[in-house]
Order: sequence, then structure tokens, then C-alpha cells
Amino acid sequence: MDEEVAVATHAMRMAGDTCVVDLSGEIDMLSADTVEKWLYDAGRGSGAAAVVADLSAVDFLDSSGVRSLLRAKEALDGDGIAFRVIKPNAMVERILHILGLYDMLT
Amino acid sequence: MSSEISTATSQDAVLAEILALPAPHGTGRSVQNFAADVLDAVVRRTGRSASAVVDRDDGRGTAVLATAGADRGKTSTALRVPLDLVAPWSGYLMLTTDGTHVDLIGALAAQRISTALEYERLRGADLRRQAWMSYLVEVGNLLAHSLDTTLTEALIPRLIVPRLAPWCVLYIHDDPSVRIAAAAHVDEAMVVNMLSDQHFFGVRLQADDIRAAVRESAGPAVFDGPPALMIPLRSHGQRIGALLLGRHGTAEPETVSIAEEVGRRAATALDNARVHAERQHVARTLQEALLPAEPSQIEGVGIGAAYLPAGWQTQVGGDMYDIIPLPEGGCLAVLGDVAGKGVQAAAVTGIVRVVLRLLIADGKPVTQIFQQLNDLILSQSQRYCTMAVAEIRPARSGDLSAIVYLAGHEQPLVVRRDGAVATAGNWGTALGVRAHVHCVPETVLLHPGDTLVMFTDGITERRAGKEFYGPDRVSRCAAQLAAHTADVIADGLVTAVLDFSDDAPQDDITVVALRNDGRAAADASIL
Repeated sequence: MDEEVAVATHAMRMAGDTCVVDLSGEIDMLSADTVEKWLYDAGRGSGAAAVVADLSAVDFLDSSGVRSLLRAKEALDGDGIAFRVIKPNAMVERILHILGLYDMLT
Repeated sequence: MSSEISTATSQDAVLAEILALPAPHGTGRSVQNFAADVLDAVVRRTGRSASAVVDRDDGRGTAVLATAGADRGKTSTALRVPLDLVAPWSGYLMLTTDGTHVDLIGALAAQRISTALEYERLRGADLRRQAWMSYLVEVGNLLAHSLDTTLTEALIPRLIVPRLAPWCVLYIHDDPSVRIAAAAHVDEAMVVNMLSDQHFFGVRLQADDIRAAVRESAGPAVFDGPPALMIPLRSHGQRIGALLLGRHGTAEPETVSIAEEVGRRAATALDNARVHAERQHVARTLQEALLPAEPSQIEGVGIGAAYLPAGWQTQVGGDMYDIIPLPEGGCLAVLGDVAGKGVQAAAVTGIVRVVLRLLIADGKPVTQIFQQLNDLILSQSQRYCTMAVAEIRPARSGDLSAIVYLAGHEQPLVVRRDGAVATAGNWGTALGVRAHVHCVPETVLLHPGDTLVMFTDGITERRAGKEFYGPDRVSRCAAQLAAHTADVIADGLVTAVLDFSDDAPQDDITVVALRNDGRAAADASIL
């Protein structure tokens, strides 16, 4: 049962003027701050007009993880860069719905 | 009065012989044998006797190390040559001669024996130091893993007996009193006497002079009835207590310094355990402040609440719940979860709880309360809070109406008395995220025997490896508990969730169950 610890990882690619960040693993208390920085840096460093977080490989998102997405969005919005998430799995989608944040983040 | 004795070996030959004797270091030969060889050579020159006497400070006093020859002649001169040893070791050579000058030979013999003895002393000290070092490391390791005050106190005397002392008492200074916290004795049966106020041993250990020394002594102190050595325990300048070590005879300086080292480690361990206990107490007090003082009694409503904070004992979680009676009957049941854990989350939880109570007392509608809490959290904190509120009021025919308001929270379950389970309420916005809170209340009717079960995400997000407990398991578990009272349902669900994994919970787990305990109107009319 003690499998390898699933930490979050990421990769970035440009699609037009949008920077897509492929997140994977678990976005929780341990990885939240790092994820927030990845997303913010993706917007800042790439000169993109929008940042999209692809959550298709994210297995788990807890309240700290949600906060990291919200904070990244707030920071990017402040710089005039649009932010949204795409392709959450069923569980992550459910969490975003429960929190009433699905529309805001997608 | 010098005279040559022809039979005697010449001085140079004897000097050469003494110099040629191999030193015993590392050869396995004893210092005694080596000294005997040296003295044999001396005697070949003097023709009389020689002996080496040494006091190794081992409690046995001066002892003869080696002798050679025998005093046969009448005219003999005694020559005493001190050995060059480091205090507290001391010794000398006693040479008897017929008058021959043996100053040089005596000096060389003394020097060689001194060197051998000094090596023996250093080697012994080195071995003892190694043994003490490993003992102290062992003591340190055992104490470092002890965070419980009672266990730490019990452990300390057992680390000292029998290694350092035949018996040991740990006194704890709880200003102004001094108590015996633990005792150990090589003879286990004696411990009872040590702790007894009937037995002379116990009486003596409780005597005023010993208690006074625990309160006052600044350094090691010696007692005589029974012979004992006291080591005061201090940590961060605070007097914690003292160790009293039984001793045989005089306390050796080495034992005293080792005992002081053990005392330092013991004091730190006791201090750590105390700080840990204080932290537990703070966490518990803070947590209790976030929960209802006592379960409210609401007529016709069975209330069950089960709460399990994550971070065993020292952590404060972000969950809170409250049951607030309504003046016109029924109650408001509130279950909240502030994102994150620890003191920061608890501080937000505390504010939410107090403000909530005030707004409810003002008679504000729940949707408006959500909006005000939202504004408050937005302005005060980076954290958000999810909340479920159930407004329970008596309805017709023994039913209870439950209006469910959700702000970013899991949907509660309606568990019918026959085991049917459905979700209740519409998802709404978590508090403290956006300027406007979207919340659409939903009303469900609870017939007698029906239960509304509210829970936090510590339930659904409890995991075993990669698997989550999840909403489906919650529903199945609730269905099985349907026939039970509210507190059994709440406890039963928490137990099932806990049993799901061997790991300690990562998040607070809270369940509030509200059951219609009234009887159906139809039943009442039959009576």
C-alpha cells in the first residue's frame, strides 16, 4: 500500500499566445505553493496572453490545492493574463463544483 | 661509604638490561610481570631486595605491584624512589642495598615502571570513557524519543540503575512542593520501601534536608544516611527537580560527572515532555472553544456529533460545528471547514463561529449571514471556508422541515428510516473566494426516523493508498446505520471512515447527524 509518494509535476507548452501547463500528480498541502509558482511563472515568463492549467493528469486536489489555483488566478489576473483550468478528472471536477468554483476556474 | 661487590653485576650492565626490557604496552604482558623483571635486574646489582608499591586510586589503597630479592644482609640502606605518576595515582620503589650507590639504577627502574603504569592508567581511562560515552549516547537516544511526561519520569531512574548507582530516586520540583516521581533499585522489591512512608528508607528519602536540597542545591551534593549523591536537574535556568543516586563509599569524581551528564539529558527530556504536554493542552483548549460546550437538547430532534481532529493531539484543525436553538422551536445546525490546519486556520474558525452566533442571534436569514461571513473572510484572511447549515423546524404531522444551505460544502445526506439515502441541497460558493456568494437553499422533509447527515471532506477524502473513501461509500455506510439513533449514526460513520485506512487521518473528520426523533402524527392519534 505504501506506493511511491505522488508529487505534483508539470510541463509547459505554447499553443498560440496561450501557455499550457500540464499538471500531474497530487496538488495538496505539500505541493500547493510550488504549483502556484509554476502557474504564475508560466504567465510571467512566457509573455503569454493566457495561461491554461491542464488538470487531466491531476489525481487529487485538496483545499490547499484549490487555494493555489485561486491565488495563481488572482496574481495572473492582476497582470492582465487570463487563467483557467481544463480537463479535470471526475473527482477534481466534483470538488470544484462543490466549492462553487467550477464556472470561475474553467 | 661506597664499596664494590665483585659478585654484583656492574652498573652499566644493569642499566643496559633495564633499558632493554620490552615495554608491556600492547604485548599482553602485565605491568606486574614487567615490574618484576625490572626489579630482578635491580636486585642483581644491589644483592638485596626491591619492591614497587602503587596506589591506583581504585579504593584498595596502596598495594605491592612486584617484589624481587630478599633482605639477607644486616647492613642495609633503604632507598625510596617515588614513581612519576599522575594524581590521584601514586607509588614508589623501595630498594634496600648494602650501601652500593644505586641512585641511577633506581631512577631508571622507577621511570620505566612509571611509564608502564601511566600507559595502563590512560588505557583504562580510555576504555572507561568509551563505555561511558556509549552509555550516554544510549541514554540520550532513549530520552529523545520520550515525549510523555509520566513515561519519561519513570524511565529516568531506570537508566541510572544499575549502571551508575545501586538505587536512584527522581524528585520533581512542583513549586513549592517536592515529590518523588519515580524510583529504581537493583533489588526490585526494594522500590516499594523507597516509596513507602512507613519504611525507614522511604521516610529518609522524604526527609526535610533532602527536600530542601532539591529546592536549593546548585550543584552535586552528598548525603550520608543513606549514602547518596544528589544531582540537581535544571533546564533553561528552571529548577526541575533532582536525581538522588545511592552510592557505595565515596562518590568518584568520574561517576559524579557522568551523573551530571545524565542529569542534563534527563532535565532536557523532562522539559520537552512538559512543553509537549502544554502544546497538547493548548490544542485541546483551542479546539474545545471551537465546538459547542455541551450538546443542545432540541425537542423532537436527536442530535449526534462526532469529531476527530487530525494531527494527533497537538494540532488544531479547521473544522467547527454548532447547534443553535431557535426561539420558535427547532435549531440551526452549522458545520464549517476552514481550508488548512493549525493555529491560523483555527483563528479563522474561531472568528467564523463567533460572528455566526451573533448574526443568528440577530435573526438574520442564512443567505445573508453567508454573504456577511464571506465579506469578513475575504477582508481578513487568505483562507476560504466551506459551510453547511441546516435550519430545522417542526412541520406538520410530526415531520421536521430541514432547509439546507450550502457554501462550498459537500451535500448532506438524507437517510430515510428504511435505509433509502439521497443527497440534499444545492452546491453554493465557498465563503471568502468571490465577492458574491451564490446559494440556493433546498428544503427537505424529515419524517419520524429520518436523519440528515452533514459531514466534512475529511470523510470523503480519507484515503487508503490511492483510494478515497468517496461519496458512494458514505452513502452505503449511512444506509446501513439508518435504523439507529443520531449519535450512533455519527459515531458509526466516523468509525467506518477511520477503519478504511491504517494511516492517521490527514484532515479533521466531523459528522453531525440530526434525526427526527418524534413520532408520526398518525401514531399519536391512534393512542
